[in-house]
Formats: sequence, structure tokens, C-alpha cells
Amino acid sequence: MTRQRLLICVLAVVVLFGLPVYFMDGALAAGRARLEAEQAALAPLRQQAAAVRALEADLAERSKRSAAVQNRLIAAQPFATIQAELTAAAKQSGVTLGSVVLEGPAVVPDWPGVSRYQATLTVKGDRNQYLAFLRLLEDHRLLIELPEANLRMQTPAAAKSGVPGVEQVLELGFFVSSPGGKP
Amino acid sequence: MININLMIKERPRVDWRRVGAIAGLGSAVAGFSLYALAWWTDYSEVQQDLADLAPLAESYRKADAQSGKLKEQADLATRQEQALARIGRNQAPTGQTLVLQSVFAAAPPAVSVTGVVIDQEQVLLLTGQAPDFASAMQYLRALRELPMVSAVEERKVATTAAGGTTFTFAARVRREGAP
Repeated sequence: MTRQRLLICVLAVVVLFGLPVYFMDGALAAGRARLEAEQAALAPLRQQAAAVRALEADLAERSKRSAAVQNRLIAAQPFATIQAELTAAAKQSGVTLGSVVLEGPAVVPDWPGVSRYQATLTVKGDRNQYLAFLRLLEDHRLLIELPEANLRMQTPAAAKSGVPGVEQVLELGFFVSSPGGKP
Repeated sequence: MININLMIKERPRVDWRRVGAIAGLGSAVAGFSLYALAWWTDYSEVQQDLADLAPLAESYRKADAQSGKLKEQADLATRQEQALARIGRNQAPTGQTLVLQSVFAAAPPAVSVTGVVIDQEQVLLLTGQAPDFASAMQYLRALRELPMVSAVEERKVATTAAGGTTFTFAARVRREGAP
């Protein structure tokens, strides 16, 4: 009888503590399984979000560069600005400008908010003056589309000063930011 | 007569079974308490993680919804950069003046360069006159030593009966950063 009571007590203890442990373990395992499943479901979205964040950072960096380019565009009065800049460069380098034809605006593909103006000019001078003029355009604060060099010089017999002369037609592109446009 | 046995207090006997039962029960309660504490910590953590996932998922979904627009912006930015690179290809620091000055400076005094063409592939075509064939070849050698040109080759060399030589040389302009 005493042994039976002891056995019953032990069984009662096992049941009293074992059953809660069983159910608590079950609840914890179910919670962990749900967490893993939800994390796995979110993994592609997380990757996508990381890619989007990287893209945002990249765009912010590009936006800074784009703002720097904005300073190299003509803001207003394109014809007057182009004429003034070309005249100044010619004066500084010593070349003579023949005809200067300014045309525009034209749409720049893939660059909304920016239009292109073309200057077709005849430049006369000796070789060194022409190179100085070209150098000024290359280093100019404005964005200028310069053509590939195609230089014809006088023969030595024709060059009286010793430095071959150049008479060159140049087609230059200047870029103007339209009001409200995004460069 | 006094029964002496009644005067001697009997020492209490230790009920080892009861002691064992109480000790066992105490251990079980203590063990269960520890287990329950650990379980509660884990369970709360899991529940907290699950609760945190909902706003995280929402933020991921919002980011995902923006991705299309951002990709369009990035594509436009790439096209703009390509347009800008094309437009500014001949402005500093990859300007052509340096190349032109170098090819003129490399010419011996007797050699006269009369034409220079640089095409979009950065191939330089030089035409000129020299008093003799040797001077033209001297200019060719000088061109080969210029750091900004590579792979100089003769295209045409013509010598007249009087000894005068006209030449056409081609050279590839070394782009910045290229070996």
C-alpha cells in the first residue's frame, strides 16, 4: 500500500510537471518554426530592399555629379554667351574668327532639360595660335562638344612666317539648361 | 510504582520516505522553475522577433514598390552619363591639343606636317612633306617614342625624282588609363 502511494506520488509529479513541459516545448518549437518560415519568406524581399538601398545611394552619388555638370551649362542668353566666350578665346589665343554661325536649340537625346546650340566658325591663325585656341576650348568652364581634330596646314612654301598657317572650320556644341529641367 | 519507561521520552524517528518525497518534490519544483524561466525567455524572444518582422516586411515591400521607379531613374542617369561622356570626350583631361602639340614637336626641323586627322576611334592620321626619305623615317621613329601614341605605322611614303618625300603615317592615340 505504501509503495503504491509512493508510485502514485511519483506519477503525479511526472504528470504535473511533464505535461506542461511537453506543451511549452511544443509552443516554443511552433513559434520558432513560424519565425523561420516568415524569415525565409522575407529573404527575397530583403535582398530586393538591399538592392534598392544600394541603388538609392548610387543615385544620390550620381545626383552630386549631375549637379557639378549643371554648373557647366549655359543658364541664359545662349547666343550672347557663346559669342562672348568665342570672342574672348579668340582674343586670348590670337586667332581671327571669320564667320560665326550660331544655331539652336536642338534636343539632346537622353538628357531631358538640356538643349544643344551649335556654333560653326572659321578660325584663322598660325598653327600655334590655333592650338592655343583649341586648348582654351578644351579647358573651358562650359561644356563644349569639340569635333575630332581635322587639321590642314599650309605647306612650308606657303607659310611665310615659318609657322604653318591654319584656316579651319570648327563645329562646336554648347549646352543650355532649360528652366525647370533636370540635368 | 512508577513506570520508568513512561518518563523516558522516545526520540523521534526520521521518516526517510517523507524526507525523500519532500526533497524530490522540491527538486522537481526548482527544476521546473528554472526550465520555465528559460522557456519564457526563449518564447518572449521568438514572439518579439515575430512582432518585429511585420514592420520589417512592410518596409521591404515599400522599398520593393519603389524599385521600378528607381531603376528607371538609374537607367536615365546612365544614359545621361553616356551622353555626357560622348559630348565631353575631347575636353580636358583627354583633350587633343596635347597630342597635336606632341606630333608637331616630334617633327625634325626639315619635316613639315601638313595634315592631322584624329578620328572617333582615336586613330591619328598624319600627312606631311620631308626633304628626303631619311628625314621622313626619322620622324616616324620620333613618333614611335611619344608616350601618348602607340602602334605607329606607315601608310604611304612617296619619293619624287628630286628626292622630296611625302608621307602618311597612322598612329593610335593611347587613351588615358589604357596600357
